[in-house]
Amino acid sequence: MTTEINEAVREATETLRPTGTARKRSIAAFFSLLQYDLSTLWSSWVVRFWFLLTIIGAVSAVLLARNYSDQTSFFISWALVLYSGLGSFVALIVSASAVSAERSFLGVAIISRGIAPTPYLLAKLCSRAITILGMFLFVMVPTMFIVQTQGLTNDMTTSGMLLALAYWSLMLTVLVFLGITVSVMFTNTLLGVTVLGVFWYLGLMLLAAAYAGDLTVDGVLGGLPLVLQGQSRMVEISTILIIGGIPLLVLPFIATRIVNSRDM
Amino acid sequence: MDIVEINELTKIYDNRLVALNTVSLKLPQGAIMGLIGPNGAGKSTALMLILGLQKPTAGSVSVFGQPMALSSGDLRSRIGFLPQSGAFPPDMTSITYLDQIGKLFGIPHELRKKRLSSLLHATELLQASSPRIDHLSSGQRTRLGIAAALINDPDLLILDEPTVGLDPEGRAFTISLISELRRNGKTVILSTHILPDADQVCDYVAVLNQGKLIFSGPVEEMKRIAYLNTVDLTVAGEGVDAAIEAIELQEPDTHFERLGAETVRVAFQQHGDFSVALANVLMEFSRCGVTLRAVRQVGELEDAFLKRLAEDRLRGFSRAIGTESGLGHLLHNDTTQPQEKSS
Repeated sequence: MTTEINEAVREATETLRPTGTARKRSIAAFFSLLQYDLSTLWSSWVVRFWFLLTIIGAVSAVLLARNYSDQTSFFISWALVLYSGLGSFVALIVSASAVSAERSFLGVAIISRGIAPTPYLLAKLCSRAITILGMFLFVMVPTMFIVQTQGLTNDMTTSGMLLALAYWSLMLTVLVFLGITVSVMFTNTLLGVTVLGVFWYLGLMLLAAAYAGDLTVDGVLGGLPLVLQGQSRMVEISTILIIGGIPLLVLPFIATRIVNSRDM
Repeated sequence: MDIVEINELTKIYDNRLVALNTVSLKLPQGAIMGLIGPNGAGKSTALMLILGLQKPTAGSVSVFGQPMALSSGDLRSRIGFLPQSGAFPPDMTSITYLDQIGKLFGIPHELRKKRLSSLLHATELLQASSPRIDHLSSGQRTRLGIAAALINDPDLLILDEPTVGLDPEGRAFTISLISELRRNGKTVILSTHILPDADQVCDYVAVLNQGKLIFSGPVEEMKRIAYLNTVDLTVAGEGVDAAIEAIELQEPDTHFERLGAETVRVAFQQHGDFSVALANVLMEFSRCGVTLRAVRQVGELEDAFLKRLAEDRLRGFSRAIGTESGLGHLLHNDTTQPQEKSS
């Protein structure tokens, strides 16, 4: 038996070494981690349940929109607000648990396999953002365009809808990046989710209060219907994109610094 | 060339626990080094630092001649690691797990598949390649861990307690694998507290106790130094005790220890040549009608290890008294008092 083992070990260890530069290996590791994390996410019940729920919600919205007499911009605005409220919760759970949930075995099972923390973290950022944005766009894009064509009183423009989708995508991406940064900072997942939840929902409420015209059903939507109607000004658009873009640049840098400074 | 070079490495966790205390050692290429020590000695911490998974509080670690850090993914890609707790994803099979590990190392698809099947064969896991990992036995998981550690054809292999929890056959199999890796020129660090395993495969040994390196060097040297001027005599006959009593009267510096009915350990105090003292012992045994069956140099690694630990405990105490508080004279004048305090 020993001879067989010896031969097999020799054969296994004498095969060619992995080729390529460190950079190539790092990129390969990034894609491998990305692929693995995406498959893990799509097999999680949180993601599956939420995705199913949003599809049911979208079908219901489309059916409802056919009999909705008011302007479609208000209808979709409410759908977006609802999504930001409930969808944010899913996004913050998915992102704020990304690293902290793996902390107990991250070093020995992942980083020890020739990985530097940076590609690991970037893979996490990408996979979580792709999942959250994928679910949002998969549901909202067809819903908005169907409501635009099927709604009784349509006042939405295509450019307005695309801009609203861009705003919401930006918001969800910022939340995911924020969640992953929190996940790196807090070793306790529950604590991280709670802190981010309080911070995020408080921020959303303050934002809504600041932009709300009045505290009526339509008033709390602020200027969102106008965005869908294509009435945004370039100054507003650029301001929102810049304010939203800054965290996307800064947060990965902060998260990478933190993860590189800590023991695995 | 030294594959691993550790220079005055110190690790203190949260200003509370000194896990490693100014440890320095070198590991030459192609050697197998046993990292041994009792639980909490700092073995796993040392491995984490060598892998760059933790940052040293002071000192440095070089692997393959380059400084190791958390960001040194390229250096880690030349290291195979078997962690103590496997940390296997339970829902994967052996094949999907090894494939995933191969992907992390950036091994091309074709080479990965080829190596994967060879390793499954080498570790006798071909029959266990389809069940989920959580359905494998602990021995099979350990072998899977070793296969995963070898998938990148590492230059340095770090095995943390690879034989813990294995049955005798599993242990023998693992030891056989490690021996074969040595023949293939791999450099191995084997952390273990199962000393007969280390004795079987290691060329070098580093002994840690409470974070302090108390010995590093060839295994034979450790045994030799620990049991310098000591032999085990296998004897038979009624007059053993009488012979011992007689010799102890004549040679008060010669110490006897009965290890069993037929084994006597004799420690001589002479430095260097103890042939005359040994001859006296043998003559006295012969005179008392004791039959000598074998003379063996003391040499179990476990014995040497325990002796080292005992010596270190005493030495550690005298260091603390002598150098730090300036009360060294107490130890010389009255050795019982400080020992009672320490206990």
